[in-house]
Amino acid sequence: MNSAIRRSMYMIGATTLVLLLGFSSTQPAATLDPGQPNSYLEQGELLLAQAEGREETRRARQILAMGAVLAHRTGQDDIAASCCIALVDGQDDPALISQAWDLALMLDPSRLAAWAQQRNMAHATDSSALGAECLRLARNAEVGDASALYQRATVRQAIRDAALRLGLPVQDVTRVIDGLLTTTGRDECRGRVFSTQVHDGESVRVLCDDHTHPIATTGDVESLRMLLAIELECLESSTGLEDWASAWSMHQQRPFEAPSIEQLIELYQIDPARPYLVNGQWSSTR
Amino acid sequence: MSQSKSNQTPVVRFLGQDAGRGGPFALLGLPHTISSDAVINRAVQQRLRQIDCHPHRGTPDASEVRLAIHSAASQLRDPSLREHLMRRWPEGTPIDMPKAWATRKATQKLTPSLMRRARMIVGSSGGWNSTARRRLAHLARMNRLGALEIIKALGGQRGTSARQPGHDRGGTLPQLPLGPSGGGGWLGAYAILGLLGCSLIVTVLLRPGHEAVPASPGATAMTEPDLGTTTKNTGIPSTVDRDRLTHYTAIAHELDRLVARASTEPQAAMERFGTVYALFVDEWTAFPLDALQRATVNIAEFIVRLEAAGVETQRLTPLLAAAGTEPDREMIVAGVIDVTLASPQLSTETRASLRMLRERISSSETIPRQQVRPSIIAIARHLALQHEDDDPEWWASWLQAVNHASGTEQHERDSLLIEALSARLQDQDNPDAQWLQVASSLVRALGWQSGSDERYWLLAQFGDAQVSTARLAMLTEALVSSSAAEGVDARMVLARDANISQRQQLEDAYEGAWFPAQTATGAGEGQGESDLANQLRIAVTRFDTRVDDERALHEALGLTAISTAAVLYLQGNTQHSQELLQNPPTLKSTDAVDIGSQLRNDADDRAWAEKVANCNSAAELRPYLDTLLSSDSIGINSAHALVHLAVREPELELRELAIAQLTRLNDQISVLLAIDHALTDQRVSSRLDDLVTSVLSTTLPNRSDPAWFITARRLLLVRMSDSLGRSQQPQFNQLEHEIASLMAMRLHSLGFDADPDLQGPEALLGTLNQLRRMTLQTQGARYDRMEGALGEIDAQAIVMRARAESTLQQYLTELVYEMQLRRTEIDAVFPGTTGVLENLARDYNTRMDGADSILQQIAHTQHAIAQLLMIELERGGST
Repeated sequence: MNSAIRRSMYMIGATTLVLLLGFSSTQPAATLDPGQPNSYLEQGELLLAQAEGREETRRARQILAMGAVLAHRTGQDDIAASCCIALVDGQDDPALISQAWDLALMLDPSRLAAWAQQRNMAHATDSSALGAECLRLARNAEVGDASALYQRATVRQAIRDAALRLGLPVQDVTRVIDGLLTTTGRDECRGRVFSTQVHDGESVRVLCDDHTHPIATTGDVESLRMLLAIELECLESSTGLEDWASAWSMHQQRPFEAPSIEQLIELYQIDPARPYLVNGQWSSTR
Repeated sequence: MSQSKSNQTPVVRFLGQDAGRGGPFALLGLPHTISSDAVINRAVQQRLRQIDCHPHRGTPDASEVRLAIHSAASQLRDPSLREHLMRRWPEGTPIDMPKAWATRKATQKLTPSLMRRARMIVGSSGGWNSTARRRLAHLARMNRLGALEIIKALGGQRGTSARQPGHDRGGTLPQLPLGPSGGGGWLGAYAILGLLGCSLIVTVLLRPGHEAVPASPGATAMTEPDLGTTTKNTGIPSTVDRDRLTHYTAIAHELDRLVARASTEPQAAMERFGTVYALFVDEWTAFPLDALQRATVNIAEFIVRLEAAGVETQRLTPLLAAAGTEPDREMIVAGVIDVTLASPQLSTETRASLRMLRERISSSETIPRQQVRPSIIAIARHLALQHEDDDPEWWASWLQAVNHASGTEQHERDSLLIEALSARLQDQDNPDAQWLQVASSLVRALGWQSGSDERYWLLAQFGDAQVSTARLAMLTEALVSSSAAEGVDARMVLARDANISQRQQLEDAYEGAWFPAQTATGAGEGQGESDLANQLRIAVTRFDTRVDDERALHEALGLTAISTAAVLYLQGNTQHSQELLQNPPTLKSTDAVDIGSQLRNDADDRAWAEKVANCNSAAELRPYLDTLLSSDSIGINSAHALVHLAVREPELELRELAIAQLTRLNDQISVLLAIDHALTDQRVSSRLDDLVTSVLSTTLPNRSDPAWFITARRLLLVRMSDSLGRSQQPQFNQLEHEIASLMAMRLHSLGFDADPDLQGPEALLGTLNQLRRMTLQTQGARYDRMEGALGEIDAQAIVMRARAESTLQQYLTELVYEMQLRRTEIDAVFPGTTGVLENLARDYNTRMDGADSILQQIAHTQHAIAQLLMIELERGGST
């Protein structure tokens, strides 16, 4: 009898535990209502706070992004702005942080004070600065030091990101850098432009002949311009370009746009025509 | 007359005395004996046609009479009710009965002597023939009788006499003629007409027609392409138009009733809706716009009520589907769905289902709207831009729908027609006679009057490389032969194989014909405004939706100059405005400097570098520097040599000489690269610090500060960019300076000092925008109307300013802000501009979406500002 009671108690306890676990992994599908964008804000915030992995984080951000889009389309821009701000939580990409805050301000101008305080447009990280230095060293024939930096994945990523922001083809950038870092191995001047030779007992400085193009250049103007533009972008120095000609020559000619709610659709890969989350999949019906 | 005109009832006023005698028979002009419902329907059509021919057909009284006609017809269709009505109400007089046959009130008795004379007339005429009829009609007129009474009496006497055997008086007497619809020769005449009518109907029916509209509520949405063509003929005579016009009231009436029935008997209402909706889709262009809106709202309400009554979504959605690929059908069906989607009571599921249906019906954007007309217009625009062939029937249907939907909005209609023509002109396929036909119909629909948009638009087509020459040639042919355009003749038709030069010549010919040159001398203020408006309009119209950077560079300046002239004029500075119009700034062509020569391994450069690098004293160096004095450039190796001396050599004077040369040439890319090469993030020597600060003419952090290196790097990168830019893109700096000068001109006009050499255009425009923004807040009630929109604009500007990295981006930010401020002001200050502003905004968004560079964005934004200034000029004053 006692064992039976014990067994029943175990069963009840296990069942209760399972139920509790079921509740704790909150199923948002039943509570997401496109007619109530606030439901997306609440659920998204909750899930983002509880998220433990990339997938859960991604799903939580999708819910928030969906809420922003649905709220904007029904004229509830204050909720849309709140969803955008909620997207910032846990975000470490400065570009995405600033985009979210910018969107929030444009949707709801009353967020100005918070925007001014929280927004941070900084792209420059240690990796960005190292990326710029890597390119400078490569141009100046300091192959060893440049190669050492270029081998770091974060440095390569920083260079790639800068190239993408400028709209430059990454493969062309890579080709130029690889060309600069590939040498015959001889460099008598060790990157110092002049080497010393002895003629008739006298030391004479001569230009080093071990380079295919003058040191500090890249061999052609276009690739030089490209690398300088990436260095500028890595160091966030574009704001120092005062002339329009300078900006244009440094590949600052890409279209300049205000952030829009439609960017969230593309960024978070959501479809407003499928606002329901059913069994982990977005659907057009409950 | 029994009644004076003022006392006449509406029925009598519209339909005549006979119709006003009372009862449904008189109202419809029908006898008591009605053989079929078709007779009733025909009578209804005839009466409705009578009303449409009346001058007051659009009045509420006319609508009341129409409703009465329909109501009478409904009553007579019920056989049992008709029996009852026959006992109560008199017969009606057929509508098409000749007046001579009509019964007169003042009818004298048919005396026996009169009847004898009538019989003798028939007998002496040789029987019942045309002579007898003519003589009897004369007899009736002489005796103030109706001929019908005499003939009735003759026929009745025949019947009476037949009871007296053997007493046959007068042979065969005619049956009472049935009027124009029957009897004797009339029958022959009508038989011929009937044959003609049948052959016409057969001809129409044999042409491919559209599918039958599904009447049942379960009909599926349109999923397959329909090979039918429109059944609408824009060339059909006005009688058919009158038929269609008269029919809309019945459809509208039915839709009204269906809304009420949706809640009480949804199933029956859905069945009936299928038929009525099909008719509505067929006949919507017969609806006046207000009736169309009402009908659409009723349809939406019908759907909502059905849903509230428990009808499932999968049965609701197909109700609004209608087969057919004709553009007018697509416009109305999609428009109806847009209005239905705007109903707040609709469930999410139904809304989603309707959206899917909408997407299958039309690829245009689904935007829920309260009004159907803007939806139809938007869909029409989308169709015109997407349609890729020259099917004349398709375009005729499209044109008819556009003509109807645009109503009195001529500008809107013209804009659609122009967009359609633009799209078709850019089709590079070889055109054929079909394109000529389409072009003729579209060209005929435009007015081509002086000052009209289409004139400016046509000029722009000649210079647009994307416009097909062959198509443009046929368009000019249509213009000359089919349009009402003045000043054009057979010489102004483009050859189909014309080259660019010939197109330009013809453009000049059109410009000369339509925009004769104004004389500068003696021009009064009105003339000045006319010139300005003219030039502004040409500049705006000529600017294509897609441009490359080369074109954008010149247009950005041109549009800024003409806009500045307009702004100065609106500020009252007429003189400067005129001067600017007559002497606009232009970009001088400047060759890019070949900086590659500085960066190559040049033998002279290497030789000079090696000599200089081995100098040990200032005295040794001076002769080499003398050779450099005559040159403004220096090779990379020579720059490396001077930098080497400046950093490595122990002699101070030598170093200072080297630094002085490097400072003199501090804008050269070679010098900057050489200094950049010398930088190090390790211990920075004082010599290196001296070199960098001297050459860059700047202050750096202390050389022991880790920030020294990164600061120097950034400065050098900026200088290198400047050097490359000046050398390779000199026109950009020209553009920047010219625009800054124009901004400064505007500030001077307002009483502010501004120096374009010290401040860039973004800073100057920023100041102008600040002033404008501050001025808005002093506008009282107008500001209240603008406040909400201004808050959003300000927020966007704040964001854009924070995001802008280069001065180009900063300038674009200020330009967009100016555009948005102007747009908001115009909307608040000038009534009736909302529609125009929406069109401009749409055009602007299209242009910006297609822009490949920030320069193109600047040009398009300036174009939008120029368009807004045109509105201000046309409305007669500054905001």
